[in-house]
Amino acid sequence: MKIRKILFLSLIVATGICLHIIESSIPVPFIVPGAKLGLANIVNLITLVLFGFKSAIVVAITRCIVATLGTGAVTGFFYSISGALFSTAIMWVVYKYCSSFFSLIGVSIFGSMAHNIAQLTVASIMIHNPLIFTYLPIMILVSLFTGYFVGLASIYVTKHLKNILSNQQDSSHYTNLS
Amino acid sequence: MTKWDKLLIITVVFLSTLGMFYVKSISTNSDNLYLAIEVDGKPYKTISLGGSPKNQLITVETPAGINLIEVEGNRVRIKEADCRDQLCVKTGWLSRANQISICLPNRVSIKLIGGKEDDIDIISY
Repeated sequence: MKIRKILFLSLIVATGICLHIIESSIPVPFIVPGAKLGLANIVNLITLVLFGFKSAIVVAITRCIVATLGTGAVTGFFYSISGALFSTAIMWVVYKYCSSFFSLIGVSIFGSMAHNIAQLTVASIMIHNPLIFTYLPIMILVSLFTGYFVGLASIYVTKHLKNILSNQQDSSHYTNLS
Repeated sequence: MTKWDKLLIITVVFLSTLGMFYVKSISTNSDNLYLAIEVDGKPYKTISLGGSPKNQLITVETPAGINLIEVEGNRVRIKEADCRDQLCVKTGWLSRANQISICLPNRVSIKLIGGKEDDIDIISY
């Protein structure tokens, strides 16, 4: 099971890196500079649901480091890793304690808001200007839509991945014997 | 999609729209430039710019001489001075925060002070 889990996590990380690199080359038609679709958060949310908090943090850190090597944007690293860590933490809290109220869409919206707050905090430290927080309302408004679609995608993916994982756990017993 | 999700979305839309209006109301107020006139190192007069689009002439009389300061919209200059070198007149218009024009013989200086500190020219991503 351990090797299987590592395999799955690395597959998820690879998917996340692909999404990260692809989305960094998609221009977002909004007035806000630096706004991204946040597709890579699908990966964080899926890992959180399927494998738990620890694995999600590991996936987030690995994805950010490797994707930075891929895109070459070193300053972007601090933005993406702070956002990924903080949003994963918030999503875990919401998913664990409020999952009876919110579906994955709500969890993902919380995550995208946390992502924005963490990134703007890092940005305000980097440029020594707390006035960048005036971006927060419009960023959150935009992230509402991306968060909604990230949640929707995660619902579909986790539904199928849960089946695959449970099937493989059953069949692994037989494959090990043979 | 539960009803709490919908409630969350509505709350977030409401709060962020409210926040956008709040930010807009702050940013229009804090964008003002101030003109600070100093004579002999002491503050003489402070004027808020941007409020009046028409020209405004201020005469500063000191024992050493007379300076005529012209305010036009968001920019300021020393229009006339009765000093010898006329450096302050040649400095021309001041339009951005922390720009300064000094008439040393008359000990008059004018300086633009920004409503907010603006050290950064541009941010690139």
